[in-house]
Amino acid sequence: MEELIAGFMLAVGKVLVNVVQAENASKEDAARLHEESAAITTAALARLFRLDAEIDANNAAAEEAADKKFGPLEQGPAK
Amino acid sequence: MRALVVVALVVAGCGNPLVTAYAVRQGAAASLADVKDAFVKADDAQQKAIVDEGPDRAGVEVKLTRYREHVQAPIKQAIDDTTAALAAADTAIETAKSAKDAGMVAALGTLWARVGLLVSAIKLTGLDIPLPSFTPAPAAPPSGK
Repeated sequence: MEELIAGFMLAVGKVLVNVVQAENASKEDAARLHEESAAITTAALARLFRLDAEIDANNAAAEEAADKKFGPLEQGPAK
Repeated sequence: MRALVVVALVVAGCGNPLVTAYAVRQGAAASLADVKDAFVKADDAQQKAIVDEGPDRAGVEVKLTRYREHVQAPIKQAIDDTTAALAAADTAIETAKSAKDAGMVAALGTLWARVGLLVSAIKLTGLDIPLPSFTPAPAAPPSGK
């Protein structure tokens, strides 16, 4: 009977240890996911914030190519 | 398909909405950045094509101006608006202190749908923008409650 109780207590202890380990792993995973997600988002936003400059560059390149092909506009680019 | 992915993520992250929020945020961010890059590339090609096909300098200028006003500007505005929504969602997540604060998951779902709509709108203009590929998030860990 005593052995049975000891075995039961041991089993409960093991379950408790597993639960604690799962809790810690969950927090670590969440922290890791947060770091990864934040890094990806920050890098993406940096790319997105370059849109103005990239569009301006495209516009300038088109104007330059047109000037090169046909000669410059007499009154400058249309606004 | 994208909606299903979002729904699956939300369901998977029910135990931890913040984890779901991370996944949706990074998926939307990476996809929107890909859409932006594709748009910039297509925009460049479109303007070059206008110059190549133009009859003369004045005619090219008229076509370029029309393109910029009716195609380039609205798409650029849509990308800017979605970027602002993404930045707001990013701030909301970073300031969320617990899973209970993570009510922005629904807003992120909307953001994700918006990215999809943006791509559809760009495709309708005839610019060849590929659909963004969703970056699958790792499986949500068990609830840390």
